[in-house]
Amino acid sequence: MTKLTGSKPLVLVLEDEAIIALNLQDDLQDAGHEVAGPFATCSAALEWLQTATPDLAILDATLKDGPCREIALELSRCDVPFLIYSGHQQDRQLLAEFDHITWIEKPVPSAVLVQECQQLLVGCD
Amino acid sequence: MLNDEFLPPWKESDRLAALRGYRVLDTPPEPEFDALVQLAARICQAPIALISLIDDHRQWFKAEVGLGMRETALDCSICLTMMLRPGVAVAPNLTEDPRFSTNPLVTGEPHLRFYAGAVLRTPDGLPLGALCVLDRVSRGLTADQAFTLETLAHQVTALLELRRAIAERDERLEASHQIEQRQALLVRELHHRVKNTLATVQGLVGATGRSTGSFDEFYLSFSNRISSLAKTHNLLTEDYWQTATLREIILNELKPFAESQQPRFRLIGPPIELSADLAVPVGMAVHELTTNAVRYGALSAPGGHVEVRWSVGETEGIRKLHLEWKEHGGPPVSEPQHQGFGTTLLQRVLPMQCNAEVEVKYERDGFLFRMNAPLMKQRLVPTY
Repeated sequence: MTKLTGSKPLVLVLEDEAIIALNLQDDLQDAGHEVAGPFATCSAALEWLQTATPDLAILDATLKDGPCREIALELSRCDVPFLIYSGHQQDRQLLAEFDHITWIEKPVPSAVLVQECQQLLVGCD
Repeated sequence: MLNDEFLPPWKESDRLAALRGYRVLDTPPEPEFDALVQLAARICQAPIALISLIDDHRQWFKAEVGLGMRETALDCSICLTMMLRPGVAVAPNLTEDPRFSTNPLVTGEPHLRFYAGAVLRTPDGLPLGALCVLDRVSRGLTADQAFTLETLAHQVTALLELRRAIAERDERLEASHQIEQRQALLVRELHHRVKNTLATVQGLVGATGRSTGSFDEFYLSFSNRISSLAKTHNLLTEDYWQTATLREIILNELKPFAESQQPRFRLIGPPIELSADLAVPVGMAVHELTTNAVRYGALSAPGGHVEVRWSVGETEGIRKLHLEWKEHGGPPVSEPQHQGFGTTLLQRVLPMQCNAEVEVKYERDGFLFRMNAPLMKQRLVPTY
Protein backbone atom coordinates (compact mmCIF):
# COMPACT_ATOMS: atom_id res chain seq x y z
CA MET A 1 0.00 0.00 0.00
CA THR A 2 1.46 3.33 -0.99
CA LYS A 3 0.40 6.34 0.96
CA LEU A 4 0.81 9.73 -0.63
CA THR A 5 1.49 11.48 2.66
CA GLY A 6 3.71 11.07 5.66
CA SER A 7 2.07 11.95 8.92
CA LYS A 8 -1.21 13.50 7.77
CA PRO A 9 -4.01 11.03 7.05
CA LEU A 10 -5.18 11.14 3.44
CA VAL A 11 -8.96 11.41 3.03
CA LEU A 12 -10.61 10.70 -0.30
CA VAL A 13 -13.70 12.90 -0.79
CA LEU A 14 -16.52 12.17 -3.25
CA GLU A 15 -19.15 14.90 -3.38
CA ASP A 16 -20.86 16.41 -6.41
CA GLU A 17 -22.23 19.56 -4.81
CA ALA A 18 -19.27 21.88 -5.20
CA ILE A 19 -19.95 24.19 -2.27
CA ILE A 20 -20.46 21.26 0.08
CA ALA A 21 -17.34 19.58 -1.33
CA LEU A 22 -15.11 22.63 -0.93
CA ASN A 23 -16.34 23.27 2.59
CA LEU A 24 -15.73 19.63 3.45
CA GLN A 25 -12.23 19.91 2.02
CA ASP A 26 -11.48 23.04 4.07
CA ASP A 27 -12.90 21.50 7.25
CA LEU A 28 -10.81 18.35 6.83
CA GLN A 29 -7.67 20.34 6.09
CA ASP A 30 -8.31 22.54 9.14
CA ALA A 31 -8.52 19.34 11.20
CA GLY A 32 -5.10 18.24 9.95
CA HIS A 33 -6.05 15.91 7.11
CA GLU A 34 -4.80 15.78 3.55
CA VAL A 35 -7.65 15.69 1.00
CA ALA A 36 -7.75 13.75 -2.25
CA GLY A 37 -10.37 15.23 -4.56
CA PRO A 38 -13.06 16.31 -4.07
CA PHE A 39 -14.30 14.16 -6.96
CA ALA A 40 -17.75 14.82 -8.43
CA THR A 41 -17.94 11.52 -10.32
CA CYS A 42 -17.30 7.87 -9.45
CA SER A 43 -15.28 7.44 -12.64
CA ALA A 44 -12.81 10.21 -11.73
CA ALA A 45 -12.38 8.75 -8.23
CA LEU A 46 -11.91 5.21 -9.61
CA GLU A 47 -9.20 6.50 -11.90
CA TRP A 48 -7.45 8.12 -8.96
CA LEU A 49 -7.75 4.89 -6.96
CA GLN A 50 -5.75 3.10 -9.68
CA THR A 51 -2.69 5.05 -8.60
CA ALA A 52 -3.16 5.71 -4.88
CA THR A 53 -4.80 4.43 -1.72
CA PRO A 54 -6.29 6.77 0.89
CA ASP A 55 -6.39 6.18 4.63
CA LEU A 56 -10.07 6.99 4.72
CA ALA A 57 -12.92 8.02 2.43
CA ILE A 58 -16.06 10.13 2.66
CA LEU A 59 -18.63 9.25 0.00
CA ASP A 60 -21.77 11.03 -1.05
CA ALA A 61 -24.26 8.24 -1.80
CA THR A 62 -25.10 9.47 -5.29
CA LEU A 63 -22.60 11.21 -7.53
CA LYS A 64 -23.05 12.85 -10.90
CA ASP A 65 -22.59 9.52 -12.68
CA GLY A 66 -24.64 7.40 -10.28
CA PRO A 67 -24.53 5.65 -6.89
CA CYS A 68 -21.13 5.24 -5.22
CA ARG A 69 -21.39 1.42 -5.17
CA GLU A 70 -18.30 0.68 -7.24
CA ILE A 71 -16.14 2.97 -5.14
CA ALA A 72 -17.47 1.44 -1.95
CA LEU A 73 -16.69 -2.06 -3.26
CA GLU A 74 -13.19 -1.02 -4.33
CA LEU A 75 -12.50 0.57 -0.93
CA SER A 76 -13.81 -2.53 0.87
CA ARG A 77 -11.48 -4.66 -1.24
CA CYS A 78 -8.48 -2.49 -0.25
CA ASP A 79 -9.56 -2.44 3.45
CA VAL A 80 -9.93 1.33 3.37
CA PRO A 81 -12.47 2.50 5.98
CA PHE A 82 -15.15 4.85 4.67
CA LEU A 83 -18.34 6.59 5.67
CA ILE A 84 -21.30 7.62 3.58
CA TYR A 85 -22.40 11.24 3.92
CA SER A 86 -25.82 11.57 2.35
CA GLY A 87 -28.88 13.78 2.58
CA HIS A 88 -31.27 11.14 1.38
CA GLN A 89 -32.80 8.33 3.42
CA GLN A 90 -33.78 6.57 0.18
CA ASP A 91 -30.11 6.11 -0.67
CA ARG A 92 -29.91 3.59 2.15
CA GLN A 93 -32.24 1.31 0.19
CA LEU A 94 -30.26 2.00 -2.95
CA LEU A 95 -27.04 0.88 -1.26
CA ALA A 96 -28.53 -1.73 1.05
CA GLU A 97 -25.42 -3.93 0.94
CA PHE A 98 -23.44 -1.21 2.76
CA ASP A 99 -25.90 -0.92 5.61
CA HIS A 100 -23.19 -1.78 8.17
CA ILE A 101 -21.13 1.23 7.07
CA THR A 102 -21.36 4.49 9.03
CA TRP A 103 -24.10 6.65 7.50
CA ILE A 104 -24.14 10.31 8.32
CA GLU A 105 -27.13 12.32 7.28
CA LYS A 106 -26.46 15.70 5.69
CA PRO A 107 -26.04 18.29 6.95
CA VAL A 108 -24.04 17.83 10.17
CA PRO A 109 -21.58 20.22 11.84
CA SER A 110 -18.09 19.72 10.49
CA ALA A 111 -16.87 18.76 13.99
CA VAL A 112 -19.17 15.72 13.96
CA LEU A 113 -17.87 14.61 10.59
CA VAL A 114 -14.23 15.10 11.62
CA GLN A 115 -14.85 13.14 14.81
CA GLU A 116 -16.38 10.24 12.85
CA CYS A 117 -13.31 10.26 10.62
CA GLN A 118 -11.00 10.07 13.65
CA GLN A 119 -12.94 7.11 15.00
CA LEU A 120 -12.63 5.24 11.70
CA LEU A 121 -8.89 5.96 11.59
CA VAL A 122 -8.41 4.77 15.18
CA GLY A 123 -10.53 1.71 14.46
CA CYS A 124 -8.21 0.51 11.74
CA ASP A 125 -4.93 0.97 13.62
CA MET B 1 -75.02 0.33 -44.61
CA LEU B 2 -78.21 0.47 -42.56
CA ASN B 3 -81.58 -0.30 -44.04
CA ASP B 4 -83.11 2.74 -45.67
CA GLU B 5 -86.68 1.76 -44.84
CA PHE B 6 -86.53 4.16 -41.89
CA LEU B 7 -84.44 7.25 -41.64
CA PRO B 8 -83.12 6.84 -38.10
CA PRO B 9 -83.11 9.91 -35.81
CA TRP B 10 -79.42 9.28 -34.88
CA LYS B 11 -76.12 9.20 -36.70
CA GLU B 12 -74.38 5.89 -37.30
CA SER B 13 -71.11 7.39 -35.99
CA ASP B 14 -72.82 8.27 -32.68
CA ARG B 15 -74.31 4.78 -32.48
CA LEU B 16 -70.89 3.17 -33.05
CA ALA B 17 -69.25 5.49 -30.52
CA ALA B 18 -71.89 4.50 -27.94
CA LEU B 19 -71.28 0.81 -28.69
CA ARG B 20 -67.51 1.21 -28.31
CA GLY B 21 -68.10 3.11 -25.09
CA TYR B 22 -69.38 -0.09 -23.49
CA ARG B 23 -65.96 -1.70 -24.09
CA VAL B 24 -67.69 -5.03 -24.63
CA LEU B 25 -66.73 -6.00 -28.22
CA ASP B 26 -64.34 -8.96 -28.38
CA THR B 27 -64.45 -9.59 -24.65
CA PRO B 28 -64.64 -13.24 -23.50
CA PRO B 29 -67.99 -14.86 -22.66
CA GLU B 30 -69.41 -13.92 -19.26
CA PRO B 31 -71.81 -16.18 -17.31
CA GLU B 32 -74.27 -13.31 -16.63
CA PHE B 33 -74.86 -12.81 -20.38
CA ASP B 34 -74.77 -16.55 -21.15
CA ALA B 35 -77.55 -17.12 -18.59
CA LEU B 36 -79.76 -14.53 -20.29
CA VAL B 37 -79.51 -16.17 -23.77
CA GLN B 38 -80.13 -19.60 -22.22
CA LEU B 39 -83.21 -18.24 -20.51
CA ALA B 40 -84.41 -16.59 -23.76
CA ALA B 41 -83.96 -19.86 -25.69
CA ARG B 42 -85.81 -21.89 -23.06
CA ILE B 43 -88.73 -19.48 -22.60
CA CYS B 44 -89.17 -19.04 -26.37
CA GLN B 45 -88.56 -22.79 -26.95
CA ALA B 46 -86.07 -21.91 -29.69
CA PRO B 47 -82.84 -23.82 -30.44
CA ILE B 48 -80.84 -20.61 -31.03
CA ALA B 49 -80.55 -17.41 -28.98
CA LEU B 50 -78.07 -14.55 -29.38
CA ILE B 51 -77.01 -11.24 -27.87
CA SER B 52 -76.01 -9.61 -31.16
CA LEU B 53 -74.17 -6.28 -31.26
CA ILE B 54 -73.97 -4.46 -34.58
CA ASP B 55 -70.43 -3.20 -35.21
CA ASP B 56 -69.43 -1.21 -38.34
CA HIS B 57 -68.63 -4.25 -40.50
CA ARG B 58 -69.88 -7.28 -38.53
CA GLN B 59 -72.33 -8.47 -35.94
CA TRP B 60 -70.62 -9.76 -32.82
CA PHE B 61 -72.25 -12.03 -30.25
CA LYS B 62 -71.63 -11.29 -26.58
CA ALA B 63 -73.46 -14.56 -25.83
CA GLU B 64 -75.02 -17.31 -27.94
CA VAL B 65 -76.58 -20.77 -27.74
CA GLY B 66 -77.18 -23.09 -30.68
CA LEU B 67 -75.30 -21.20 -33.41
CA GLY B 68 -71.65 -21.95 -32.64
CA MET B 69 -70.32 -18.63 -33.96
CA ARG B 70 -69.00 -15.49 -32.20
CA GLU B 71 -69.55 -13.18 -35.16
CA THR B 72 -70.81 -12.98 -38.75
CA ALA B 73 -70.52 -10.50 -41.60
CA LEU B 74 -73.26 -7.88 -41.70
CA ASP B 75 -74.91 -9.37 -44.80
CA CYS B 76 -75.83 -12.35 -42.60
CA SER B 77 -77.40 -10.11 -39.97
CA ILE B 78 -81.13 -10.09 -39.47
CA CYS B 79 -80.75 -8.01 -36.28
CA LEU B 80 -79.26 -5.17 -38.35
CA THR B 81 -82.68 -4.67 -39.94
CA MET B 82 -84.83 -5.71 -37.02
CA MET B 83 -83.16 -3.54 -34.38
CA LEU B 84 -84.58 -0.48 -36.13
CA ARG B 85 -88.08 -1.50 -35.09
CA PRO B 86 -89.48 -0.72 -31.65
CA GLY B 87 -90.27 -3.50 -29.19
CA VAL B 88 -90.11 -7.12 -30.36
CA ALA B 89 -89.71 -7.67 -34.12
CA VAL B 90 -90.87 -11.02 -35.48
CA ALA B 91 -90.21 -12.64 -38.89
CA PRO B 92 -92.29 -15.86 -38.90
CA ASN B 93 -90.96 -17.22 -42.20
CA LEU B 94 -87.60 -15.92 -43.39
CA THR B 95 -87.73 -17.74 -46.78
CA GLU B 96 -90.89 -15.81 -47.66
CA ASP B 97 -89.62 -12.48 -46.35
CA PRO B 98 -88.06 -10.47 -49.23
CA ARG B 99 -85.68 -8.77 -46.75
CA PHE B 100 -84.13 -12.06 -45.65
CA SER B 101 -84.87 -14.70 -48.30
CA THR B 102 -81.38 -14.37 -49.82
CA ASN B 103 -79.56 -14.26 -46.43
CA PRO B 104 -76.76 -16.91 -46.47
CA LEU B 105 -77.91 -18.27 -43.11
CA VAL B 106 -81.40 -18.76 -44.60
CA THR B 107 -80.39 -20.18 -47.99
CA GLY B 108 -77.60 -22.33 -46.50
CA GLU B 109 -76.62 -23.77 -43.09
CA PRO B 110 -78.21 -23.58 -40.56
CA HIS B 111 -81.31 -22.90 -42.75
CA LEU B 112 -82.94 -20.38 -40.44
CA ARG B 113 -86.70 -19.97 -40.83
CA PHE B 114 -87.89 -18.00 -37.79
CA TYR B 115 -86.60 -14.85 -36.12
CA ALA B 116 -87.78 -12.84 -33.10
CA GLY B 117 -85.66 -10.07 -31.63
CA ALA B 118 -85.95 -7.40 -28.93
CA VAL B 119 -83.82 -4.33 -29.53
CA LEU B 120 -81.00 -3.48 -27.12
CA ARG B 121 -81.24 0.26 -26.69
CA THR B 122 -79.01 2.68 -24.76
CA PRO B 123 -80.67 5.05 -22.26
CA ASP B 124 -80.25 7.71 -25.00
CA GLY B 125 -82.26 5.57 -27.42
CA LEU B 126 -79.41 4.37 -29.66
CA PRO B 127 -79.86 0.77 -30.85
CA LEU B 128 -76.81 -1.44 -30.21
CA GLY B 129 -78.22 -4.74 -31.54
CA ALA B 130 -80.77 -7.25 -30.33
CA LEU B 131 -81.47 -10.14 -28.02
CA CYS B 132 -82.94 -12.61 -30.50
CA VAL B 133 -84.17 -16.16 -30.79
CA LEU B 134 -84.07 -18.21 -34.02
CA ASP B 135 -85.53 -21.48 -35.20
CA ARG B 136 -85.13 -23.79 -38.18
CA VAL B 137 -88.90 -24.06 -38.63
CA SER B 138 -91.41 -21.38 -39.44
CA ARG B 139 -93.41 -20.41 -36.31
CA GLY B 140 -94.56 -17.56 -34.05
CA LEU B 141 -94.12 -16.20 -30.51
CA THR B 142 -96.77 -16.11 -27.75
CA ALA B 143 -97.51 -12.80 -26.02
CA ASP B 144 -95.82 -14.09 -22.84
CA GLN B 145 -92.73 -15.12 -24.79
CA ALA B 146 -92.56 -11.71 -26.53
CA PHE B 147 -92.95 -9.92 -23.18
CA THR B 148 -90.21 -12.06 -21.60
CA LEU B 149 -87.86 -11.53 -24.55
CA GLU B 150 -88.28 -7.75 -24.27
CA THR B 151 -87.76 -7.85 -20.48
CA LEU B 152 -84.60 -9.93 -20.91
CA ALA B 153 -83.37 -7.42 -23.52
CA HIS B 154 -83.70 -4.68 -20.88
CA GLN B 155 -81.67 -6.85 -18.53
CA VAL B 156 -78.94 -7.17 -21.17
CA THR B 157 -78.81 -3.38 -21.53
CA ALA B 158 -78.74 -2.95 -17.75
CA LEU B 159 -75.81 -5.39 -17.54
CA LEU B 160 -73.98 -3.50 -20.28
CA GLU B 161 -74.52 -0.23 -18.40
CA LEU B 162 -73.22 -1.76 -15.18
CA ARG B 163 -70.21 -3.17 -16.98
CA ARG B 164 -69.41 0.24 -18.43
CA ALA B 165 -69.79 1.97 -15.06
CA ILE B 166 -67.33 -0.49 -13.54
CA ALA B 167 -64.85 -0.03 -16.40
CA GLU B 168 -65.06 3.75 -16.03
CA ARG B 169 -64.61 3.52 -12.28
CA ASP B 170 -61.53 1.32 -12.76
CA GLU B 171 -60.08 3.82 -15.23
CA ARG B 172 -60.62 6.66 -12.78
CA LEU B 173 -59.03 4.63 -9.98
CA GLU B 174 -56.04 3.90 -12.21
CA ALA B 175 -55.72 7.59 -13.10
CA SER B 176 -55.87 8.66 -9.46
CA HIS B 177 -53.36 5.97 -8.58
CA GLN B 178 -51.00 7.44 -11.17
CA ILE B 179 -51.52 10.92 -9.76
CA GLU B 180 -50.70 9.59 -6.29
CA GLN B 181 -47.51 7.99 -7.57
CA ARG B 182 -46.52 11.19 -9.32
CA GLN B 183 -47.19 13.14 -6.14
CA ALA B 184 -45.09 10.73 -4.08
CA LEU B 185 -42.28 11.12 -6.60
CA LEU B 186 -42.44 14.90 -6.44
CA VAL B 187 -42.45 14.87 -2.64
CA ARG B 188 -39.34 12.64 -2.66
CA GLU B 189 -37.71 14.97 -5.16
CA LEU B 190 -38.62 17.94 -2.98
CA HIS B 191 -37.01 16.25 0.04
CA HIS B 192 -33.85 15.73 -2.00
CA ARG B 193 -33.75 19.35 -3.04
CA VAL B 194 -34.47 20.71 0.44
CA LYS B 195 -31.73 18.56 1.98
CA ASN B 196 -29.33 19.62 -0.73
CA THR B 197 -30.19 23.26 -0.24
CA LEU B 198 -29.64 22.97 3.52
CA ALA B 199 -26.27 21.31 2.96
CA THR B 200 -25.37 24.06 0.47
CA VAL B 201 -26.36 26.73 2.99
CA GLN B 202 -24.17 25.00 5.56
CA GLY B 203 -21.34 25.08 3.02
CA LEU B 204 -21.95 28.80 2.50
CA VAL B 205 -21.79 29.40 6.25
CA GLY B 206 -18.39 27.70 6.37
CA ALA B 207 -17.04 29.41 3.28
CA THR B 208 -18.30 32.85 4.29
CA GLY B 209 -16.96 32.35 7.81
CA ARG B 210 -13.49 31.58 6.49
CA SER B 211 -13.37 34.71 4.33
CA THR B 212 -14.77 37.29 6.75
CA GLY B 213 -13.10 38.94 9.73
CA SER B 214 -15.95 40.07 11.97
CA PHE B 215 -19.43 38.87 12.80
CA ASP B 216 -21.00 41.94 11.20
CA GLU B 217 -19.08 41.34 8.01
CA PHE B 218 -20.01 37.65 8.09
CA TYR B 219 -23.66 38.42 8.69
CA LEU B 220 -23.85 40.90 5.82
CA SER B 221 -22.04 38.70 3.28
CA PHE B 222 -23.91 35.60 4.32
CA SER B 223 -27.38 37.14 4.24
CA ASN B 224 -26.66 38.75 0.86
CA ARG B 225 -25.64 35.36 -0.52
CA ILE B 226 -28.76 33.67 0.84
CA SER B 227 -30.92 36.47 -0.51
CA SER B 228 -29.32 36.15 -3.95
CA LEU B 229 -29.88 32.39 -3.89
CA ALA B 230 -33.52 32.96 -2.98
CA LYS B 231 -33.93 35.45 -5.83
CA THR B 232 -32.60 32.93 -8.36
CA HIS B 233 -35.02 30.34 -6.98
CA ASN B 234 -37.85 32.84 -7.45
CA LEU B 235 -37.07 32.90 -11.15
CA LEU B 236 -37.18 29.15 -11.61
CA THR B 237 -40.29 27.96 -13.40
CA GLU B 238 -42.65 25.72 -11.55
CA ASP B 239 -42.35 22.65 -13.75
CA TYR B 240 -40.30 19.61 -12.86
CA TRP B 241 -37.25 20.81 -14.74
CA GLN B 242 -37.22 24.35 -13.42
CA THR B 243 -35.60 26.83 -15.76
CA ALA B 244 -34.85 30.55 -15.50
CA THR B 245 -33.88 33.12 -18.12
CA LEU B 246 -30.23 34.14 -17.98
CA ARG B 247 -31.04 37.82 -18.50
CA GLU B 248 -33.29 37.89 -15.45
CA ILE B 249 -30.72 36.04 -13.34
CA ILE B 250 -28.22 38.78 -14.16
CA LEU B 251 -30.77 41.57 -13.67
CA ASN B 252 -31.52 40.22 -10.20
CA GLU B 253 -28.10 41.47 -9.17
CA LEU B 254 -27.62 44.50 -11.40
CA LYS B 255 -31.14 45.94 -11.12
CA PRO B 256 -30.13 48.42 -8.36
CA PHE B 257 -27.90 50.12 -10.94
CA ALA B 258 -30.64 50.43 -13.57
CA GLU B 259 -31.88 53.77 -12.18
CA SER B 260 -28.55 55.51 -12.67
CA GLN B 261 -28.42 58.51 -15.04
CA GLN B 262 -25.37 57.09 -16.74
CA PRO B 263 -25.79 53.49 -17.88
CA ARG B 264 -23.87 51.28 -15.42
CA PHE B 265 -24.26 48.00 -17.26
CA ARG B 266 -25.03 46.53 -20.67
CA LEU B 267 -26.45 43.07 -21.22
CA ILE B 268 -25.85 41.68 -24.70
CA GLY B 269 -27.03 38.19 -25.60
CA PRO B 270 -29.88 36.08 -26.96
CA PRO B 271 -32.80 34.90 -24.83
CA ILE B 272 -31.76 31.68 -23.13
CA GLU B 273 -33.29 29.46 -20.47
CA LEU B 274 -30.97 27.80 -17.95
CA SER B 275 -32.01 24.70 -16.03
CA ALA B 276 -31.77 24.87 -12.24
CA ASP B 277 -28.44 23.07 -12.02
CA LEU B 278 -26.84 25.82 -14.10
CA ALA B 279 -29.11 28.74 -13.13
CA VAL B 280 -28.31 28.48 -9.41
CA PRO B 281 -24.47 28.45 -9.69
CA VAL B 282 -24.57 31.15 -12.41
CA GLY B 283 -26.80 33.26 -10.16
CA MET B 284 -24.30 32.84 -7.31
CA ALA B 285 -21.42 33.73 -9.63
CA VAL B 286 -23.16 36.90 -10.83
CA HIS B 287 -23.81 37.82 -7.20
CA GLU B 288 -20.11 37.48 -6.34
CA LEU B 289 -19.08 39.38 -9.48
CA THR B 290 -21.46 42.22 -8.66
CA THR B 291 -20.37 42.34 -5.00
CA ASN B 292 -16.72 42.55 -6.05
CA ALA B 293 -17.46 45.21 -8.69
CA VAL B 294 -19.27 47.30 -6.08
CA ARG B 295 -16.45 46.95 -3.54
CA TYR B 296 -13.36 47.18 -5.71
CA GLY B 297 -14.28 47.38 -9.40
CA ALA B 298 -16.19 49.32 -12.00
CA LEU B 299 -19.31 49.81 -9.87
CA SER B 300 -17.24 51.39 -7.06
CA ALA B 301 -16.48 54.50 -9.16
CA PRO B 302 -19.03 56.94 -10.64
CA GLY B 303 -17.99 56.50 -14.29
CA GLY B 304 -17.53 52.74 -14.33
CA HIS B 305 -19.74 50.22 -16.03
CA VAL B 306 -20.03 46.47 -16.60
CA GLU B 307 -20.60 44.76 -19.92
CA VAL B 308 -22.04 41.25 -19.85
CA ARG B 309 -22.11 39.32 -23.12
CA TRP B 310 -23.29 35.82 -23.70
CA SER B 311 -23.94 33.43 -26.55
CA VAL B 312 -24.57 29.76 -27.16
CA GLY B 313 -22.21 27.82 -29.40
CA GLU B 314 -21.75 24.19 -30.30
CA THR B 315 -18.37 22.47 -30.19
CA GLU B 316 -18.01 18.76 -30.88
CA GLY B 317 -21.74 18.25 -30.52
CA ILE B 318 -21.92 19.87 -27.08
CA ARG B 319 -23.93 23.08 -26.68
CA LYS B 320 -22.08 25.53 -24.52
CA LEU B 321 -22.93 28.81 -22.89
CA HIS B 322 -20.22 31.45 -23.28
CA LEU B 323 -20.51 34.21 -20.74
CA GLU B 324 -18.20 37.19 -20.40
CA TRP B 325 -18.23 39.82 -17.65
CA LYS B 326 -15.98 42.78 -18.40
CA GLU B 327 -15.62 45.88 -16.25
CA HIS B 328 -14.76 49.32 -17.67
CA GLY B 329 -13.96 52.72 -16.18
CA GLY B 330 -13.27 51.60 -12.64
CA PRO B 331 -10.15 52.25 -10.57
CA PRO B 332 -6.94 50.65 -11.89
CA VAL B 333 -7.02 46.91 -11.29
CA SER B 334 -4.39 44.80 -9.61
CA GLU B 335 -4.33 41.16 -8.49
CA PRO B 336 -5.86 40.90 -4.99
CA GLN B 337 -3.58 39.70 -2.21
CA HIS B 338 -6.26 37.82 -0.40
CA GLN B 339 -8.56 35.35 -2.12
CA GLY B 340 -12.11 35.74 -0.88
CA PHE B 341 -15.01 33.36 -1.29
CA GLY B 342 -16.16 35.23 -4.40
CA THR B 343 -13.04 34.26 -6.31
CA THR B 344 -13.17 30.74 -4.88
CA LEU B 345 -16.70 30.40 -6.13
CA LEU B 346 -15.75 31.55 -9.62
CA GLN B 347 -12.58 29.51 -9.90
CA ARG B 348 -13.43 26.33 -8.03
CA VAL B 349 -17.19 25.98 -7.66
CA LEU B 350 -18.16 26.72 -11.27
CA PRO B 351 -15.71 24.22 -12.80
CA MET B 352 -16.74 21.53 -10.36
CA GLN B 353 -20.48 22.15 -10.35
CA CYS B 354 -21.09 23.00 -14.00
CA ASN B 355 -18.07 21.44 -15.73
CA ALA B 356 -17.28 24.99 -16.76
CA GLU B 357 -14.01 26.34 -18.05
CA VAL B 358 -13.37 29.56 -16.21
CA GLU B 359 -10.97 32.43 -16.83
CA VAL B 360 -10.40 35.25 -14.33
CA LYS B 361 -8.19 38.15 -15.45
CA TYR B 362 -7.21 41.20 -13.45
CA GLU B 363 -6.66 43.36 -16.55
CA ARG B 364 -5.45 46.83 -15.68
CA ASP B 365 -8.36 48.62 -17.40
CA GLY B 366 -10.97 46.39 -15.82
CA PHE B 367 -11.64 42.98 -14.32
CA LEU B 368 -12.53 40.21 -16.80
CA PHE B 369 -14.37 36.95 -16.17
CA ARG B 370 -15.10 34.35 -18.86
CA MET B 371 -16.98 31.09 -18.57
CA ASN B 372 -17.75 28.25 -20.98
CA ALA B 373 -20.34 25.91 -19.51
CA PRO B 374 -21.96 22.93 -21.24
CA LEU B 375 -25.75 23.08 -21.45
CA MET B 376 -27.62 19.91 -20.57
CA LYS B 377 -27.94 17.68 -23.61
CA GLN B 378 -30.84 15.53 -22.54
CA ARG B 379 -32.99 15.27 -19.52
CA LEU B 380 -34.05 12.16 -17.76
CA VAL B 381 -37.73 12.70 -17.13
CA PRO B 382 -39.17 10.30 -14.59
CA THR B 383 -42.19 8.40 -15.91
CA TYR B 384 -45.37 8.95 -14.01
